[in-house]
Amino acid sequence: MKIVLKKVNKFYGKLHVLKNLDLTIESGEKVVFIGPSGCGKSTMLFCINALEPIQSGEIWVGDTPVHNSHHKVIRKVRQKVGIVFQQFNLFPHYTALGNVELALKVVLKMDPEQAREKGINALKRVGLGDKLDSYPSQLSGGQQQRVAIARALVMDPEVLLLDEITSALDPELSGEVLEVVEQLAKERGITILFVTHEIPFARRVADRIIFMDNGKVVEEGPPEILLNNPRKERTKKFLSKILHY
Amino acid sequence: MGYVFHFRTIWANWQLFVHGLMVTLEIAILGMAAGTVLGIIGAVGRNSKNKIARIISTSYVEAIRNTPLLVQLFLWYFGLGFLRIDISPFWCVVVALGVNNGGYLTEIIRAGIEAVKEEQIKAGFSLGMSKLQVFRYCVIGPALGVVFPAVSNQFVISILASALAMIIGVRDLTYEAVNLQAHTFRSIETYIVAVIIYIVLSKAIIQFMTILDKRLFKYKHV
Amino acid sequence: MDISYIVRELTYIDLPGIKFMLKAALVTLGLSGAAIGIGSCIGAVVGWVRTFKIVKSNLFLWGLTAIYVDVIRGTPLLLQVYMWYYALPVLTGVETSVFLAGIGALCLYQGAYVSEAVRAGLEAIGKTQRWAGRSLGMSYWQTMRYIVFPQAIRIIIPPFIGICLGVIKDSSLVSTIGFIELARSAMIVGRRTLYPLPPWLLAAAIYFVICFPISRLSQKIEKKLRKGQKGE
Repeated sequence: MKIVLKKVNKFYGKLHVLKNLDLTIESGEKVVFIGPSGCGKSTMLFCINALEPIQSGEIWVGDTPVHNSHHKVIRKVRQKVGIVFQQFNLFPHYTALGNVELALKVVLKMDPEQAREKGINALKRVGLGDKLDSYPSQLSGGQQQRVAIARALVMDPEVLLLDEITSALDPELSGEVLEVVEQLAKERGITILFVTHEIPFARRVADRIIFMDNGKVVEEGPPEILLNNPRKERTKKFLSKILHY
Repeated sequence: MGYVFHFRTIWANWQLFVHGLMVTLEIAILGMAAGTVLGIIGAVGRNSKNKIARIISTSYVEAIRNTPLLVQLFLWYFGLGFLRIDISPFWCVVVALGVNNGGYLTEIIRAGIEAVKEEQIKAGFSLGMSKLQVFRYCVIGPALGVVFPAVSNQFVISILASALAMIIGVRDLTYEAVNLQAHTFRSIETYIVAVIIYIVLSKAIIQFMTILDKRLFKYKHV
Repeated sequence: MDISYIVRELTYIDLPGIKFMLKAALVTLGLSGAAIGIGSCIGAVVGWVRTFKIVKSNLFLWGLTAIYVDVIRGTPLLLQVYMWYYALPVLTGVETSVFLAGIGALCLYQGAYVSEAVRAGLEAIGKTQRWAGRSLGMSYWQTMRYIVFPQAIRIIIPPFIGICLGVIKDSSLVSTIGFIELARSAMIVGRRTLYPLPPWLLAAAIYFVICFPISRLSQKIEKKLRKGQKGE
């Protein structure tokens, strides 16, 4: 599904977080967003599935406008756009399987047997087939994040928004999560928007890398070009700070 | 002390105590059930975006918290009479206790709802759930889990508050005790028995609620 | 339906009745004040005693305090009022007046709840604070007075105000044995004028006017106390 942002402006109170943002993501593209903290990358993700409202501009997910839409329209959009949060946000009162099948039963009104089967498959896919009945408090950070990914995937979304999904994890645990995402990027025709600091991963997996600063797109391009030969000064500065050659 | 204890009259009338206990339990349980429903509605109203809902629920809570249950009981008793509604004293007490509980439970449940992290709610919406679905599946469960001890406490308070039923003639445990001592003049024995029953009952309720907490909210105890 | 009759049923209360009820409201305040005053002293002492290691480890001593605290908190106040009025004379052979029964029951009731609040407050101040005081050479009393007590009082005050509010409301229960305070006055006026509802509406309004400012004040105090703690 194609995603288009046209002249999007978003304010948090007086803070201008997204400034006339223009962006087009083609269907099936895997795009990684990098940039300093507070530059609006996560906010942009939250605007795409209307968790945050925008003050002006347009956001289109496929053929559907997300800005100014009726909440019934937005709910339909959210069934096609999956999101995984930095803090996992699993429901503590449901087991891993419970978390994953909840939306299937409640939103898609799926038959409980079917939902359970789909849920089990989704968890197996992320390598947690043996943790179906564990509660989030019993799982490690990496496992919880994988459950969160399964929860988003089980809805068969056409777009996947990943908001710094490894930033809250100990370094040893990010590996297992990134593996899952890499698998996803290869096997499905799904559009992925990944906000992250994991540069080596981006280099391997991304079709395009977009560098944002201060609510705007500064530079974008395929990984080989953007990471090795950035054109803008700001990009060079940022990269020199986070890359360790 | 020079007082001789005669418990025989008590044993002979044990049925009265049992009946009274049953009535007390009925009043307390019904009062809690009604109170919980009103509490959830009130808690939603307190934080609602709708100004009228906020005003109504805040007034409700403040009216309940700043007047004695006794006064509320008589207001219901005479008020329902004024409205020409024919209601038995038993149900009158249940209504009074239920509405009273609702006021306190509104604040308790509201604290529980506010304790649910915003990210959980965002996660629910991001899966495409409606407001009602998010409330039902992501909010109310954890909210009650957080404040369950306070809810249990309110249950015990209900048991003790149910004693007011005797004032309008409902035959609860306190009524039976007072009635019995008036007939037999065995004041101390009757009251000791009543006191023991209430204390045992309170402890039993707390135990029951603890077990219920472990059953309903398994995730808190893993 | 006669409109004027309906209105009267809701609002009829004569001037002598209003004066009587207002005087009774003063009695309620006096009664509550006495119960709070005496009860809090009892409660503070009992609560403090319950923090002693000697008491906590000794089953007998702890049991003694528990008999007081757990019994008072585990039985209805109404039953306790009746016990004071009907059972105590049988036990002691002395006729208890309505006045004594009312005050006695309320004092003990206030005391039991205050003792738990005081205990919680004192126990919240950890060992390390006491050690700091002792290691500076302070005696037990000095540690209590300068270190433990000032911190504990912050924790104790909000629940304490809540308990006091509770006593003001629960004082209405002594009306059942004939003590003439606000609730009883509503019963009396209602029986006299044959319109029972208006006196109860007035009583509710008076209780509200007494209690609402106190609970508002309590919320403000709570906010202030919390601010202080965060700043530290």
